Amino acid sequence: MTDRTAAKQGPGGHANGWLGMTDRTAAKQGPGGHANGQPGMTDRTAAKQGPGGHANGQPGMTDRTAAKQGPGGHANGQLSVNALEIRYRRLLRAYPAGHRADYEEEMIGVLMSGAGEGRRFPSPADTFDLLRAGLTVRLGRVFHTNRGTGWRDAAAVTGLFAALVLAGAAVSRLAAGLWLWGRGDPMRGLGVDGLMLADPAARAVIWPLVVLAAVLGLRRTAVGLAAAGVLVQAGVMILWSAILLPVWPMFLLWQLGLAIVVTGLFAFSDRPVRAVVGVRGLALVAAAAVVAAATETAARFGVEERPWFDPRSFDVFWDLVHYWVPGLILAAAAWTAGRRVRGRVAVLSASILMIAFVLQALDQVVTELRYSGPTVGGVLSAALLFLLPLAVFGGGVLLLGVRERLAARGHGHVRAHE
Amino acid sequence: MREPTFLVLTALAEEPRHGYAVIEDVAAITGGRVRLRAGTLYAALDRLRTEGLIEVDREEVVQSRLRRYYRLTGAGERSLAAETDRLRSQATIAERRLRLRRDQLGGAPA
Repeated sequence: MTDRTAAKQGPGGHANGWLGMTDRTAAKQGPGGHANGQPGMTDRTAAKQGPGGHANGQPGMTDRTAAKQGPGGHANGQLSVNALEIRYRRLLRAYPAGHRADYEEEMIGVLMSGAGEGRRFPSPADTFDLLRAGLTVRLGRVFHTNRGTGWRDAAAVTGLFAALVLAGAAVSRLAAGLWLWGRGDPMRGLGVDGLMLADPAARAVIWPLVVLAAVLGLRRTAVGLAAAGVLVQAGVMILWSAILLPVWPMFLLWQLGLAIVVTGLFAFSDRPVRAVVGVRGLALVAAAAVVAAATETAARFGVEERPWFDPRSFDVFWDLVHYWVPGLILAAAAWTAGRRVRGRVAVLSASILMIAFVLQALDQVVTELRYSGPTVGGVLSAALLFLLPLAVFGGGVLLLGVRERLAARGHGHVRAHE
Repeated sequence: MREPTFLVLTALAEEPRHGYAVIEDVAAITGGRVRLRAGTLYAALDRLRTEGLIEVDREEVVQSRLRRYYRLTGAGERSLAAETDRLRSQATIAERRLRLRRDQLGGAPA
């Protein structure tokens, strides 16, 4: 006998003829209706019924059904074990544990009160509502701890870092171009006299302007300039595609990707960087830029070829100074933003580094495709490559969530009952 | 303020109510138009509690089910009053314009 049959019985209804009887037959029984010898019932079923035909506690009836019936056959669900309740509890697992500890019993009460008699499964609308609300709470815990701060602040800081990288790349390229220019335009042979400098010059104008706007706290201006930067980067790629080969400017793709990301980050942020990292943070950012400029200049003059000490350890030392020291100073700048924001800056920065890496690797993937044609392995590894930034971001968000939950537990911050 | 929030506060303005009583009262005051679902209701209750607009009044166990009664706080009362004023002023403007429109058009639909 199913739960539904039990529920459909009216008050005082005896579950006669329960063996082999369909829901419909049971439903047809009126209040107090005895099913003995009713048409549609097989002889076998009738024979199995004892005299009086009361079904309570008959063999074959599951505990669950018995529990549901309760005294007088009401489907009250007075015992806590109940198929519908179990299903509701399963749905409530969409909520984080803290929320469940607060509200689960109460919500089960509301859900069970709202469920009509005879319901065995949560309605699709309830199911959707619970899943949506539960996942919203989960996401909210990640993105909106303390009402909305965190990610937007981190976006402002990370946007500045990425804009700085683009500015650095452009200025360094322009310097290299000017140095080449001094020895006679190497592009003259291609018939693009002077054009070689137009690309890095345009980039070396726009990105420092973006950095300046961000530092001055002109958020909207920074967004607008970064959007212009996207156009510049795209224009540069189109220009070189037209002059040379369409595949050639692929090495600039990571800058276009980064430009789009910077625009998005500044658009998403709602406070100027200065408000997030303070003057000390901005001083550290400036220090990182100065150090990077100095090491880049030194590299330009071939420091690597003239080691001051043992060449083997000098290589390691120089890589450290050239790439890691500016990065570490930037990390220190992010550190000044406070515990919550700095974690998010780390996650966003790692994701953006991944995007830049993937876009650079894409150059190689495309080259491979051109030479060996599309292979299953090639397509698969390209697809995996594109998942990398997502994986890094997702993993980072997950780690932040775990860390913050642990921290909250450590500080006794778990929301308790009043 | 979104409508479910407004309706939950309105339900609690009369007396402290538990979750299911809020659902039934909201259904009653909207003539059955709005029947809050548990997920939506508790999203609103949790947020309102965090914002200090409602608080737990008492807990009861009825038929082995936990019932938590919520009541409006002072801040909740002010918030509901402000929202009510806002809705009323908007409704007044709409009403005045509709009346003007009827007068100008002589009652005929455009």
